Amino acid sequence: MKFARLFRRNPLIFSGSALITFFIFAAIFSPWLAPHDPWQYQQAFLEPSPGHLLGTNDVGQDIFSELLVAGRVSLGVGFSAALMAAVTGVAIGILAGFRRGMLDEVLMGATDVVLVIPTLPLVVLISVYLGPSLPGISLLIGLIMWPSIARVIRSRVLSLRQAGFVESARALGAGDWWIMSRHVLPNVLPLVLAKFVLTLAGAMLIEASISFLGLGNPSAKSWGMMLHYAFTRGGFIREMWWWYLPPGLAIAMVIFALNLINLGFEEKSDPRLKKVLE
Amino acid sequence: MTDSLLEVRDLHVRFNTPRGVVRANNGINLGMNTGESLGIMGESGCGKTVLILSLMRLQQPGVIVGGSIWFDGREVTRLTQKEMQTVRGKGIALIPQNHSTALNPAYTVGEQLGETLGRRQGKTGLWQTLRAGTPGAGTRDYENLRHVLSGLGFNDESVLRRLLASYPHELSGGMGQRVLIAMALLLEPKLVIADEPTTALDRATRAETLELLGRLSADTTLMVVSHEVETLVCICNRVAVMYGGRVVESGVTGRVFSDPHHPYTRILLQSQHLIRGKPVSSAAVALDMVNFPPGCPFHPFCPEAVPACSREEPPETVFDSGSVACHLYNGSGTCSK
Repeated sequence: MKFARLFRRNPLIFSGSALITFFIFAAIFSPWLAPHDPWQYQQAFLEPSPGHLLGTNDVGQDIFSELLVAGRVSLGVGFSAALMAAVTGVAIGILAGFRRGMLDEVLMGATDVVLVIPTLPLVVLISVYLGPSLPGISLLIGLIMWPSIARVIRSRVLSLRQAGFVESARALGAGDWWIMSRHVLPNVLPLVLAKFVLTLAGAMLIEASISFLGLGNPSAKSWGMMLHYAFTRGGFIREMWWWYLPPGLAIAMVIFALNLINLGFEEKSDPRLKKVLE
Repeated sequence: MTDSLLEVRDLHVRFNTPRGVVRANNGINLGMNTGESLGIMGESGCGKTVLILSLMRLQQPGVIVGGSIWFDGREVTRLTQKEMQTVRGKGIALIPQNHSTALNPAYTVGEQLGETLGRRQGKTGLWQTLRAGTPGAGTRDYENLRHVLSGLGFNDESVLRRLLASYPHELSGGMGQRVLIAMALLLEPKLVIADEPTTALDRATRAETLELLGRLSADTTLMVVSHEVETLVCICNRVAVMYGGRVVESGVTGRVFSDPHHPYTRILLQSQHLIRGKPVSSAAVALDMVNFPPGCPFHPFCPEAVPACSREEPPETVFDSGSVACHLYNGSGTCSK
């Protein structure tokens, strides 16, 4: 009954988070859920059967088990990259918006520079140099995605710094750091949350893209990597839909879920949007 | 003048705007002793708010271009921003005018009062700041809170608890105002400044708040800024009337209201129907702060202006317990007319 009530309160956020929770659980418990060891070589190119729910790939690895395990890397890289982007973006946004002056100019200048660089070519270029390491890729995506967060946070901080409670905190003797951490940060958190969800979706897409291009780590299975092998080892040509469709669907579903949550947040912050959605 | 707490001498504050230089404070002289309560009166735009913000050096983007502010033995205009943080709050505490914007919507009243208490005890580290919460029942902080709040009318334990757990938007006007007063008092400041304490309130809560501030003025040094004469009569034993960024008249409350010396004071009191005479519409005496008239700022509107008024600024004539800046008065404090 509790679920029903939660669902009625905000169906978008509820269904989105239910979906994403499902994927996260599947990824976390994949070693116990997977019927086979995804690295074990068995008979190649098997069609779906009760023994192999989604068949096997070109070297005879069970695709269903692969799909479960690959979620760990895809989600892990996405979350760590989005977390890094959010922390950097919030810090820079608050600092620039609150302190203003020279610092603002410099920080926002840097933000604009990163913002105008086309993301994917840059990531491809750098990841070729960095080599295929998972922490490297997360760091790279995190460093690319903070500017849009910083911009949004800064514009909110610009109005917050004029707020009455900031002025009264100052009049009671609070310093800049105090006001930024205690009074500005909690008031931008809802915005950060909404932005984090979108960034997470973006980060997972970028990770999938570079893995698909073959620039990912071949010793770690991710959904993008599965698509890459399905493409290069003839899964598409032989129309083995059970090979290339599931990882693609998994990516699409996770991003769909994240967008549902984001839509829910937006509807909450701007109730007029509800009319448009209905 | 041994216990002089605040001494403002010839304070000039200017704002550089695209339209020109706005001379918001134009040679202000003001003194306050410990235990006194001073009311600052004047219409909107006369520089009242800039004056009190300047006392705490929060007048930015305005610039203090001249004069001195002595507070508690220190020259405020010469302190660094770091030193100012010890003056603000513990030295001079401001009661903001509107509780609905002056409290942070993200925290409960208890958390915000707890933060203020932490500040008094010097817990200003990042971690301590982020963790500051409602003081738990029975702790010394809680007793401190209860002591201050019961003085403001929150005597009942359950009412107090409910107040501490509520968010700012749940407060009524009178409650919010009392929370702001409590917040200022918790820091045990040497001087409390109330900025338009009654403008945002309805009539019933206004009477309540006035009574509260009146009681408060008995044991704290209180400065009240208001354009409502009524407010100041209730609370203050001295008043200063401001016009055009200057103090045009000051003195004991009773004397200023019963026997106003400056023509502007008379017009101000007439407009609020407190003394007999035809009220003058406020638009007729509104001053353009950019194109400042030479001489006395009030002379274009003054019914009693003499030729000298437009030529030179009137000197401030000081007599027993007050002062007046007008050409119509000579040194003895009597009208020359």
